[in-house]
Formats: sequence, structure tokens, C-alpha cells
Amino acid sequence: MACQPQTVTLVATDTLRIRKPTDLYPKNSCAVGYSHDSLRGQEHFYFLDRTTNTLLHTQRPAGKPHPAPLELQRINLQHLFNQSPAPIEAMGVFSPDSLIFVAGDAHNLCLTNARGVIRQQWQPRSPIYGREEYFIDTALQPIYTHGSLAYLHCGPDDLGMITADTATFHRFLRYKTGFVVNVRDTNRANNNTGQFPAFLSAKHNFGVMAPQSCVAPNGDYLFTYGPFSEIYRCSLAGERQVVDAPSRHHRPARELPFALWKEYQPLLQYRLSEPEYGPIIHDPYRHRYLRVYRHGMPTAANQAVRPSYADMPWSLMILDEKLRVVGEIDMAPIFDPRLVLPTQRGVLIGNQRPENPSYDPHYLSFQLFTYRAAQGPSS
Amino acid sequence: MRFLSLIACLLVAGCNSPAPTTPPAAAAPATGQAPNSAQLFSDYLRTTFRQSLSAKGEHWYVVIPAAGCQGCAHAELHQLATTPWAANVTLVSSGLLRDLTAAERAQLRQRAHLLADTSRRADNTLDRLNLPFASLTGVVRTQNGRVVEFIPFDKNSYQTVFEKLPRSPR
Repeated sequence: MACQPQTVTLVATDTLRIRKPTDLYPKNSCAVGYSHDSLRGQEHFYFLDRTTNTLLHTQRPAGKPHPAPLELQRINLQHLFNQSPAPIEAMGVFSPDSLIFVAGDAHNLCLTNARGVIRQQWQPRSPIYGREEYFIDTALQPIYTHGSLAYLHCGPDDLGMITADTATFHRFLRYKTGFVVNVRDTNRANNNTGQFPAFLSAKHNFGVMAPQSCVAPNGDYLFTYGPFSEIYRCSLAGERQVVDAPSRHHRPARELPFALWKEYQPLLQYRLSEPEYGPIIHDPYRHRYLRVYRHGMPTAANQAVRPSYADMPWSLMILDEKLRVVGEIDMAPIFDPRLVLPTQRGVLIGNQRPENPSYDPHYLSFQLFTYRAAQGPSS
Repeated sequence: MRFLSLIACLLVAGCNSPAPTTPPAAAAPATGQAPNSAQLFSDYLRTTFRQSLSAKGEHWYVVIPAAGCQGCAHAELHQLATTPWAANVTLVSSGLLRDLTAAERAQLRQRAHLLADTSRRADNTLDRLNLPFASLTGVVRTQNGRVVEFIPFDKNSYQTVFEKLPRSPR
């Protein structure tokens, strides 16, 4: 008889506040990094300001109450990619003093310490896709790290033409979604280490979002597509597995006709009205996964003044190591599903977002949640 | 222009959309129904800025919200900041104004009458207004206090549309 997973819930405990520049708000996980230094007992938080290519870094003693707001230290990163004004695409954290950045337009990767001093810079061997141009695109997700491996998304340079014609769109379906580089192998940091399946598929081509992804403890790459509940697991050896992990609120999304991809109004209305699976996040401290489900607001398209994304109800699913859903918590809209950060003390979730009238632009604010065994079934 | 991600498809789509055509003039507000676009825009000006549609002659409202293609909107704002516009041209914009330098903002205020919907840091009312602009940007032309035309524009057509706007005689 199969063992039933223990159902789990999250309990709000502490809050964390970080004093920040007023213009900074990390809207996506590509701009947020965390590392726990178990030797020194410190937690490190990193924020990438993509408008100024600046790294903001702070640390706090792990496990101790720290009621005062943390102060950020600014580190200029403009030197990383030859003073390129283009926003740094994303950040990944190997350890408290080892970070990786990617510049999409320059096709470059850069390994630095926490003070922004370059340790290694290289360009993945190109072209990845035969004669096609490509660029590295993290789809606003972080650069995932596992041991000395960094996992990156990439796509063709002419991504901007995806909606120009159906031939381009179908050609785009053939592209692989990402690749893996080994930062210790500085001579051949390229795509030979691993490569992942097509970014879009015919089945998923009405998901207007890029796939969401994370890396499992064994190095497997997990990814999901927009409104679909399946999680695709892909090993570096090429093995594939599909696990269905639906939300208890799951409802099928309607299809978005390809012709409407060209217009903002229907795209916005689609994204507001239809449900969508958001980020999938690995919690390495509790050996679980977290998965965001945005419920959608079916009446949003008919309103003269559209609701805000910040009004959308969402829930946070908790999955065990086998990707079984062991809990799902309905979150108040004040919490930001883009800012879910597993840490050594628990799961931090942003609880002040710029869309809210009460937002204080001087602080980043997080609510800390800890796991607790639930009394009843998860759904 | 580089497109950073596929949230992406939103940005991408708008940046590559073909030049839109001018829709028919907005009809008069229907009574007892949800407000039509003309009524919606008029109500928006009144509730957000305590302003009515200009009652004297022709007026042009250039609408550039922070939703949609940000790179395109920045280019449009920069274009507006380089030309002295006539007194009957008003720019209505929102959070994108924060992305401009102080000098650029000052220049924009000198060149055009500016209505800044920036009470919130994100998703201000202008960013959520369902006006008949496929790429969310456009011009609302009014005549004697009534909306007579919605002229959408995007990154391919904004310069052509801006050519229609009256300029300052100075």
C-alpha cells in the first residue's frame, strides 16, 4: 500500500524589512538571490537592480530575531560587461561569495565574488542552434545553481518576431529552452553539459508565459507551462518524466488565438482573466517544492477599468520530493507571488507590493512562514 | 531592441504589432449602460485630475500608460519631450515618468501640458483603463468637450500620429 504524504501548511511568524532605494522593487526572481552561510551563521540577501546594473547586498545573523530594518550595500556591476547599458539579465548565487550574472545581449556570463570583483568571464560556445543566432534569456527567472553547474534559459535572437508570422512561430517551437554550463570548466563552458526540451510545444502554445522552472536536488530540471498542471522533469542524461500536480482551484484556461498575440489589450485581459501556474521553487532546507497558482479573474475582461494583477487571488502549493501536492494555502492579495524565497529560517513572501496604495517605497518587506503539519487532508 | 523575457510575449507582441488603423469616432455615451470609451475617458479625467474635457475647440490628449511595451513608450515620451506642442495638446502618462531623468521630466513639462497619474507606484488607473487602443497607447481627440476620435499608435506609427498634433507657434 502506498504511503500517504503528510499534509503540510504554512504559518506566519516573523517579518523582515530591508531599507532600499525608492525605485527598487524586484518584480521577478531573476533579481533576487539568497545564500545561507552555515559556517558563520549568516543569511545573505542579494537584489539586482536591473535599471542601474547594481547589486544590493545585505546579511543578517541566522536564527536570531532582527527587528531593525537591514541596510543594503550597493555594488556597481557596470564593469562586468564592458559598461554595456543593457540590463543584466539575471543573477544566480553559488555561495555567499560566489555569484553569477548573465548579459543577454552580449551572450556573456560573469562569475564574481560578493563585491562584484570578476573571477571569470566567458562566452558559451556558439552557435548553440547550428547557424541560428541566439541569446541567453532567463525568462525573468534566476540562474539556477547546482554544485558547479549553472542552468540558463536561452532563445533565438529574433524572439521579438515570434508574433510576426506563423512560420516564425512554428520555427520557434523547435528551439531548446535552456542549457547548462559548468563554471569550473572555464575552457568549454558551453552547452555540452546539458540541454532541455523545446521552449514551446504545439500543446502549450497558448501559454503566453515562458515556462517556469527550477532545479531538483539531484540536478534534474523541472519546468511547467502557463495554465497546465503538469510538471516536466528532465534529467541531464535526457530522461523525461511528467507528473500532474494540479491546484485544488485548477480550472482549464481558454485558448488564446494566435492572431491576438499581436495586441496588448487581449493579452492583458487574457492574463488577468485566465488561471496560470506561476513560479515553481525548490526549498532546499525542507526538501519541498513550492508552486504558485494564480486563479485568474474571469470578469476582468469586461471591466472599464481593469483590476490590478495585485488584486488577483492566488494560492501557494506545497509539493513533496515526489512532486505530490501535500498542501495549498490561499494567500491574501497583499502577498506578492513573484517574491517567494525559501530561506534557512522558513519561506519569505513579499507582503508590500507597489500596486498597493499603502506601499512604502523605502522598504522591502517580507513575511516569514514556517511549515507545520496540517490536521486534515490538503484538499 | 532586445526583449528580455517571455513574460515577454506581452512585450514582444506589442513591439511587433503592425500600425493600427484609426477606429470610428466614439459614439455618445449610452445611458444606463457601462460607460463607453468616450465616457470612460471623460470620467477618468474628472475623477483623477478634477478636469473636464476641454470645452473650447479642438484638444488632443496623448495617452501613454505604463502598461504595454515599455521600450516603445519611452521612445514616445522622448519624442514628445523634443518638440514644443501647442497649448491644446495634453500628455496623460503614469509611472513611466519616473524612469525619465529630472531634466527630461522638466523638458517634457515645458513642451507639453502634462497630467501625471502617479499616485501609486504601479498599476495606476491609467494603466488599467480599457480604452480602444490595441497597444494601449493613443491619442484622444476632442472637440468642444466631446470625444470625436480615438487614434491608436504603437512603436511603428507614433511618429506619424505625432505629426498630426498641433505645435507651438514659438
